[in-house]
Amino acid sequence: MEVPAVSYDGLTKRFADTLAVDDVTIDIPLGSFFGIVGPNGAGKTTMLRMTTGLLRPDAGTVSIAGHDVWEDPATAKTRFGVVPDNPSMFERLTGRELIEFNGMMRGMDTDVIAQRRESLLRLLDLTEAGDTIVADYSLGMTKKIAIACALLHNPSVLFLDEPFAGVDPVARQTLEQILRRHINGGGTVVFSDHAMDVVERLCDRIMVIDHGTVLTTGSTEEITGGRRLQDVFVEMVGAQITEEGDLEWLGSSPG
Amino acid sequence: MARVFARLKLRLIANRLRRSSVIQAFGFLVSWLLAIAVGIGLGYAYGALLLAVENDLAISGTVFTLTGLAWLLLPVIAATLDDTIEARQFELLPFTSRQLAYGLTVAAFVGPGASMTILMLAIGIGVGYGFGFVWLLQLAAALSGLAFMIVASRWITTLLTDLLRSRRTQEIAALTIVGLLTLPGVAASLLVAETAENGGPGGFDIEAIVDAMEPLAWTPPGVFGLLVDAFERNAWGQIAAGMAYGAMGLVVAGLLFARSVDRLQTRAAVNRRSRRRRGGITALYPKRYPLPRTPVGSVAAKELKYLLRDSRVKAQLIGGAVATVVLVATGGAALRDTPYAPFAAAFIGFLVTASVIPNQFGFDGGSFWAYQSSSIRLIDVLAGKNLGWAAITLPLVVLAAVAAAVLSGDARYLLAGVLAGVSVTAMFTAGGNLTSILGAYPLPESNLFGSRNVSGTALIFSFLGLGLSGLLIIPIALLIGLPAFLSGPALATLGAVAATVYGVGGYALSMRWIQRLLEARALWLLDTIDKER
Repeated sequence: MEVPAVSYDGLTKRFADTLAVDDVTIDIPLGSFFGIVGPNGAGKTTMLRMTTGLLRPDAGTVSIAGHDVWEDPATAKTRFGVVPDNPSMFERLTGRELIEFNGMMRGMDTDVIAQRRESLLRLLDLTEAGDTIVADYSLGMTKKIAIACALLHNPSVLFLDEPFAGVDPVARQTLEQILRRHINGGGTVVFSDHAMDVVERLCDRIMVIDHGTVLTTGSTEEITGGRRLQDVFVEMVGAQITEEGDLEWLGSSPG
Repeated sequence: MARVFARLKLRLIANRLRRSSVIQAFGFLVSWLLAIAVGIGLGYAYGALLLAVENDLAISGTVFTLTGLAWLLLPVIAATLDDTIEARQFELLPFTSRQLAYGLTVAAFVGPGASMTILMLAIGIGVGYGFGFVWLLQLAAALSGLAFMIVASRWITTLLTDLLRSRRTQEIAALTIVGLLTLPGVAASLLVAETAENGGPGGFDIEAIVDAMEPLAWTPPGVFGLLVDAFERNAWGQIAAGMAYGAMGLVVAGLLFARSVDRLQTRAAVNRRSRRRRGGITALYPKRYPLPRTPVGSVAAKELKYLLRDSRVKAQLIGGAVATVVLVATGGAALRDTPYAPFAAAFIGFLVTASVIPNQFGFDGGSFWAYQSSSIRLIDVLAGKNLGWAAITLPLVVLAAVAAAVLSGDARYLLAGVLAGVSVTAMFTAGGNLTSILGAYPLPESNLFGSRNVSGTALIFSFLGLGLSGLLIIPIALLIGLPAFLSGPALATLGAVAATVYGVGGYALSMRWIQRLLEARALWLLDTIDKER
């Protein structure tokens, strides 16, 4: 039997009175492009953080390629790469140095690091900016350099938390191409995003989560049933309609 | 792995220099040179003490204990001179917490703090005990002691970073630190009182003070000082015991550090908001405070709102009050009715007031926000911030005046004390304002644990600001101190009135000057602050 790329079993997390993730049990198959969608505060980021060893769950287990993330985090972290929504990086290093130190910290051979670093920089259109300090990068460039660091060790699973937020269309196109290339090479991508059109276009499997509970999961076709994912999503989680007169003052003369 | 962490730290330092402007690079280099000079100076002082005093064990134990205490407290309460590598920056990398703790410790050896300590200990031991083969053994013991201090320091800062994600724990920690800082003062007061009695009227028995400190050689950092001394005496029993104790301390601190690293990386902050704060004040204009409904009043209200929520300010207010009472109670008995009393009272008052005022360095990131979000004139932003801080300082000024009256045994010093506090506050504020406008560096804002990575340049400007303020308050000390010494409280009160005119007048003049400076430099100032934010 094939080991799933990611396997959740009863994953639960509570913050004070809030149940952030409630007993999630699901397998993500190898080679899938998996999208996690949900409204703000649904538990997407919490789930990704628990998956990548950044937040200890209250109950349940997470395995990456058969390695329990919380039993043996150091080994599990060699199997995946992560691009968090707000990556904590050494911003006073240049892009080139950042990738290089990432590789060195992972114990990679310096020749391999140099070769992969240059090809990633070229692919991400960062060759010229490679010698600029990361603190001076734009948001899109920061996301791209974070992706380069996440891909450097050729992980089998790539986790991304809202990778397209604040990224211009050209950079978005590049990121999409890289993620597709990762999938075509046998890798797995798991990402959360609010942009339903992107999720619908890229993902072959989707999970909808709200208030920490998985509302549905399955192939994109099964979930949308020929409709737009945006409409299905709003129907599932419910939409708040603004009452007539709520914002009457907005746009009137200032004061 | 150790090599990679050390290289990373060096690269970060080099990049900071490479990216800095000439003046920033100059500030950074001066900070390093200053650290080295302080290290050499302290080393010679340590050596001189060893030569001058008979009980070398007590001296070494005390030096190592105090150095350990400095390593524990300074990273928490003060800015460091370089980039500190934090555990969270490695959370995505495949390290076990022990590996990471080891790497972070190695990185901490690369920096001005470690260079300064190594210089101090190497020179001190050499000068005091002599250079030679034994010196090498003593140096090895000192380096092990430094390793212990670094591990313990990083453990404390990591633990605090983890714990201090909730406001309540921030307040508890800040108060604990103030308590720890008060301890040496209390201990010194008690020792002075005790030894003054033994040494006869007006004399202090230094040997008795040193002997009383001998137990410090058995604190965890102090035991490395004990080892240094034991190598000199060939006291093999003490060497064996000290090595076992030191190794155990190092291992325990290392394990605690690794545990804190793990908790910091994998635990979320739970910040329960109290019911009282939910739906709190949202209007910019002041409602709770009796302040004018003007732009200056609104900035002052914002400043007060932030400051009263700030753990460090709370800790300084409470700690300042507690320290004053404790120091008056412990030192008062020994000093009352001596010629030193008014000066001791003035010193305590100065310490208490000055501990709060230097936080106010006029223009900062908060000012930028107020200017940007509400288009309030920069000069009004500055005046509003000053007003907010003055309101915060007032209770301590009154308390310091009470301390002056109690210590001197004359109630008339109360008014002189209050007036002195007002004039010192005004002059400190004027000095801080000028420094922040001329220097245009975002100096540590009122965030106890958020100011650890302030650049060396900002630190230099902080010192310059303090120095300038210090110079400006000398006339105040003369106007009040001389009449108090020559004539007594009546003339001192008159001097205090003159000092208040000087202080408040000086503040008003500085604001007029600043207004002219702002007309010419506002854009540059905003640009500089925004870049560094």
